Amino acid sequence: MGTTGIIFKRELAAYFSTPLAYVFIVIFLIMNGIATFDLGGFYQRGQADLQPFFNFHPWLYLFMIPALAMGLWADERKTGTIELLLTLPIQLHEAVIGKFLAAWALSGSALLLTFPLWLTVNYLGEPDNGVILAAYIGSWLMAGGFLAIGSCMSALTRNAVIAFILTAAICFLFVVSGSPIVMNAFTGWAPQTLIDAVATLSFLTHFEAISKGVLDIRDLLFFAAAIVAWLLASAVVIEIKKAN
Amino acid sequence: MKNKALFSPAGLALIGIALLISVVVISSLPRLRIDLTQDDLYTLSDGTREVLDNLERPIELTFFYSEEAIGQMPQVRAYGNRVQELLREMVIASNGNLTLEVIDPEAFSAQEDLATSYGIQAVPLAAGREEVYFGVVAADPGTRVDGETEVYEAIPLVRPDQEEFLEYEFSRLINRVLDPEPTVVGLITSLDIDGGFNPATEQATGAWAIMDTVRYMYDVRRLQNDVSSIDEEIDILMLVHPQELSETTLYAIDQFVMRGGRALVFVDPNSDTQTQIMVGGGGYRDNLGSELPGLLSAWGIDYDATQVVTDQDLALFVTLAQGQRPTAHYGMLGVPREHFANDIVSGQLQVMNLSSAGSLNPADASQTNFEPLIQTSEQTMMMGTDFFREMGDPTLLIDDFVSEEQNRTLAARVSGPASSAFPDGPPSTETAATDADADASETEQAAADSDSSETASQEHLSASVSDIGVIVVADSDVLADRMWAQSRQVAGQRVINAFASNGDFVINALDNLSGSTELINIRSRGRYARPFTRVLALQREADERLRERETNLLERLSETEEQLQALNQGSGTISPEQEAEIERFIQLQLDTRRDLREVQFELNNEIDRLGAVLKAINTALIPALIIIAVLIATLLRNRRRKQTR
Repeated sequence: MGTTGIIFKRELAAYFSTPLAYVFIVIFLIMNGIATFDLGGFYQRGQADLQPFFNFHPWLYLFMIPALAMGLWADERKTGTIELLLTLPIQLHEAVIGKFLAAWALSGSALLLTFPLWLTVNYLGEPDNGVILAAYIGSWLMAGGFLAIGSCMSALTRNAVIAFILTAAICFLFVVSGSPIVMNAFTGWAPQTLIDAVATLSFLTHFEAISKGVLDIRDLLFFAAAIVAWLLASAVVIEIKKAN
Repeated sequence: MKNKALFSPAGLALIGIALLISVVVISSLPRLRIDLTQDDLYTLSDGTREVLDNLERPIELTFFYSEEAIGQMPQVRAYGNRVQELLREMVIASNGNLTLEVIDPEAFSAQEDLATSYGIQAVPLAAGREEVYFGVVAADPGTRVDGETEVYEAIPLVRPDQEEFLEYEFSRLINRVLDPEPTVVGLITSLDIDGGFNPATEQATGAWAIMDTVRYMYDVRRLQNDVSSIDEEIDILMLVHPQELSETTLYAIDQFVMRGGRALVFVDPNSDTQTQIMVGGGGYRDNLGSELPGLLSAWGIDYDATQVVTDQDLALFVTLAQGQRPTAHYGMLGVPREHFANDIVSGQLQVMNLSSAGSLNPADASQTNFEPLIQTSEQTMMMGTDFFREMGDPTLLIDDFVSEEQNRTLAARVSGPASSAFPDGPPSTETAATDADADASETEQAAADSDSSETASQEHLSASVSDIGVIVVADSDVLADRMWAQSRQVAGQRVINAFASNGDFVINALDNLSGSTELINIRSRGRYARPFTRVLALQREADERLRERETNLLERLSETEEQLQALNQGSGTISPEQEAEIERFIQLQLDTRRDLREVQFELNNEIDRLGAVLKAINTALIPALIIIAVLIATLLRNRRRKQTR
């Protein structure tokens, strides 16, 4: 784990040595404020909960997370540093995990910096803080799922913009799977178990289940499985590309 | 690398398949969860656990659920999962006494016949959608003869708007199967609610619509107003406008409640319905009020039968004469949803109409729990029944109304331990005897009653055996047809069209009271509103402060107008001084009016300002701090670089 830790620290430091981390956090916070107050009508609603805030997170992440993830591997490939990285005495999985954790920590700190909203809602009324805590955990797990997808897409290409678009598209599918748009594509030919599996792949339903205030082992394991699978796929893609 | 097979395009496909499989496996795991909500909203309540603990024989639950058809409706599917999860959780908590089977009945199959035999039909959930099964049955396999189950209860359609009450509904279902005997409701009333005789037309009058509904669901037994003991078979006592009950009868009611019998009580300071009834030889009754002397206070309720609630905000509009404009009747209240407690009895009602209702308060130093079910607005005033009876015109109420700014409780649930209203034992037999002597037939009745009470051999109870369960409504007109339903005859049957929830309230209350205490305690713990208390306080505060200014300004305005009038009434000629004075007053009048408008504007302004400040803080504060911090750090770095150069 030592090497993973070193890569994690190096990557995190790299984020903050360029404007990327600051730009990401600032835009994330401003978008959240606008979404919560203007689109979600947080104040007019008069209800002491953070529903309008968390309702926008899947959609906000849909373009914020690909922006964060697109550089994970594409940049290394573009600048050629990927060869350097892989010749170092580092296991591939350590590099994948380290980079992922650094990006996840960054999105987590952006999320934590929305704490004034938590203070606000506690100032205005008496919210159910257990529900809010669960929703924060759910939101962070969902960000992790998106990032793992982004990691894999970024490994596929040397062009960051393509990585961005691919990530956004796949994340979108994972958000809406289970909705009629996706279901209709499967009904008629696919077996029921496959349809069920696709329906339960939806990030949205698992996120909503957690943000009701319940930490269900199945929802937690779902995000864990998604993250592990996509990170594994990242490693495989990098290996295949290296062989080429 | 180590594993060549994995690191290939085939490996990617493998990962994809592995993800799909693990997702399916994960979703079929048993549920293991941490409920972080404040009130443990997603955890089985103690009441349900008690019901399930007390199961002594196996009960079979069947969920008829068209899984395939519902698969394409994710919203319904999520709800279906929630229903199944809750049922499974109940099965786990039942120590093996409950079993659950989920059946997706195919068309023309034996399973469809089974569903039909339980009275469960496929219904279209939305227009144009396929018909689906979505019902739950609880059956007692011990009563199965040749594959036919005798004892079962069904919810033919689990409605999506029932989600908050699912746990209650399922527990009730199981309870009904355990105890299939119909609930017996004993009715004591001074009204002709159950049918009577109209001396004016010399014709029998039919029962009220409410009794049709109650009789449909329960076994109703009419008790005489002088009953001296309540039969053990009676589960719920329904007292409607009880008037002038004897001590013996009051004692019987008291002991019934102390023994754990449930009661639904409608007392009324002023029964509008009764004014229309001519008694025997003609003329009106003197006393239109009702109460239960001693009993209500023993149960922890403070009720004054001489005071009627009037409410400015909830007043219904009535037309006094044809062609006239409707006027507000402060004594007739249309109570909307916001004023109902989120209790299983009142939580889903839409609107209730009451007329000349009384007010209920928790009595001082009472050990019972008093929970309001229906409340008024804050703009209320208590008025004497005398005034109420004699006023011909309800607009008089408007003239006399001065708000006492207090919420009044119109209906309440009382639970917990209580003491008897007769701490010294039964009332002396002397009074009972004189009561009985008054009428020979009554003596017979009393004798018959004492026979039955002898067999029951009931001892005096000075305190309740267990928690009492009583629901009290301070109005009896709430039951009258004109307040909630229009009924008409269709092919010899009465069809009731309800325009208010009064009937639902009564059925909910009886339903709820007929369950065990555990069942009554499974409250809808659903989504409680959590308002912005800070904003509400601000609003109130601003209201008060500004109303004072408003009153001052209004006073100034009327003074100015008076003075203007006085000036105008003077002699025909107006001196220049007078003219100047008039000019001054008119200006003052205009200024005052403008100030008034500003006051009203300010009221909203303050609240909007808080919203704007909070929005600015939440959108811009942290980003601004970050930007400043980055700028400072960059400046410092640049300066250091310059210095080192």
